[in-house]
Amino acid sequence: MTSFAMSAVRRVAEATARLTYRDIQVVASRRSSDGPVLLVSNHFGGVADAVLLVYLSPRVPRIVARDVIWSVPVAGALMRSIRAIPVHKSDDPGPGRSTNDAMFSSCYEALAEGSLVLIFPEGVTQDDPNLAPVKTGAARIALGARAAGTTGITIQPVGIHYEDKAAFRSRVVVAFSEPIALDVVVAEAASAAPVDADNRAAVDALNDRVAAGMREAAPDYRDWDEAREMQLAASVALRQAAPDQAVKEVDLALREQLAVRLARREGPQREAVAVASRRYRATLDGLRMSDYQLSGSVSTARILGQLALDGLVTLLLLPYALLGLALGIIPYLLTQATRLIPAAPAVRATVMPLVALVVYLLEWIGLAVAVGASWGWGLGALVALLTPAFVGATVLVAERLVLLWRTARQWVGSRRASRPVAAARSDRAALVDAVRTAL
Amino acid sequence: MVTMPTSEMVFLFLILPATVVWVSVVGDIVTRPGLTVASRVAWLAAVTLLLPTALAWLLLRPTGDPLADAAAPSDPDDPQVALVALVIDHDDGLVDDATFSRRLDGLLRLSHP
Repeated sequence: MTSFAMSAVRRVAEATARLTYRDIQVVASRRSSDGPVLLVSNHFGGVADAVLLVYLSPRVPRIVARDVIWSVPVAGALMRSIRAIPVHKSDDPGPGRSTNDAMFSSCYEALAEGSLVLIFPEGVTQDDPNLAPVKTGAARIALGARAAGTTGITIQPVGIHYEDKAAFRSRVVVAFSEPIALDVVVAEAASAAPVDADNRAAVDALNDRVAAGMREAAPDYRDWDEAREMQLAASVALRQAAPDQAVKEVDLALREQLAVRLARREGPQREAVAVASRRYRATLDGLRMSDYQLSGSVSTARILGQLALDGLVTLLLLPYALLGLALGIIPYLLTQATRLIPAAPAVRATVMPLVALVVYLLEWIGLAVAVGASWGWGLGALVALLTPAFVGATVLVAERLVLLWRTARQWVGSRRASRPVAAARSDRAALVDAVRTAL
Repeated sequence: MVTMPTSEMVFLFLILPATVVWVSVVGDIVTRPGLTVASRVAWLAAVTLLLPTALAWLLLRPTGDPLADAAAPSDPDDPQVALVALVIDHDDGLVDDATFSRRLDGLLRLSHP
């Protein structure tokens, strides 16, 4: 792929990712970037996973994807243009190849060229908050490529955590765990037989390491109930540590790191956190309150100061924000409408970013062309330049108003002294104690 | 299955539409009544330079390292960051139990109203 096309592909991925998610965080202690790299990722978000990893990778990866995509008109052309590698699943329609020899050969060639190859070793998009069984494809590709003469291969496990994968403008965390140096793994393997893709013991051993690396990086809860319980417990503990930041959203990367570690605690400790979390959630729901209202307090002077500041900013930006609202409301509603699609969350997570990109792009271009054709191209160019700024003003004002609303609710919550609120504070303290014990 | 080389796709989906837009804008500037010669030349220069420059800036500017850019800066003095770092260090065996309990209690007591 030419550097021009590569840059363009990454720009489109960046635009799609930045439009779809309001916050993209990365957790990476160490990561590999040079030489032949096999990127192995969990697969919670369908196409969204690939978009995020193309955007965040230092090079456009050769994506291993199901061959049925190649027969979809626009998607097929796109897959060919980015030199994706087709893999046939036995339960997919169409002739396909039962052995996938061509897929393995293409992966070996890509790694021999020093490329980045992206594969989702679970083989399916997953709607549960944990990894599906990790298939041996990635391990066989890595060992096969090395046996074919490519040295220096690194396997980089990745985990993608979505706040709500089917929601437009939600948050996402991409976590990279420790890279696996294949040469070191092979050197350590005490095997009389050649360490290649046909060596079952070597494949299984490497696959175990790949799965462990992915599990380290990816969400790893038993079920959605446990995910919600541990995430609430982690949020409460983090707010407890910084009560002055209570009205702000808890940092998603920090919450996920703490929640996953709570979920991995011993049975009784984990169960105590789960019980305390369920009780606190039920109490909050009964009072129609949120945790931030009970974490810390806010002074009257502070809320008046914030009201004055936010009121001034809102007044200054209001004309632009209203214009941005008028311009952005239809694409926003169309994108939000993807939540109504009667399909699995992973399917909606695939459709949503594509719909967002298309409808926002069409409106932006259509508006500029319509204004240009009606009132002159200079004005059309001006509209094209200013539309993103107006929509940005809307987002800014909306964020300020939400923060102000949460501060006001916290101010009210901190002054409530009824028995149910006191009970909620007690449940909250019990949850903090359970977290402290579990950690 | 017909495959199209990347260079042809770039031409078809990028260069061709951009050229059509440029030609239509230039046509409008040339034929629009009431413009002085100076402003016509200025507009022509602007769209001829601006359009390709904007396209090049959008698509070709160095992508840098978005991974590093997206990595959240972690302030070790932030108590939330300190809490998670403490738990990770303890799990990794870098902090002993007594130190962990003392620092954990300190961090979690901060928010008692």
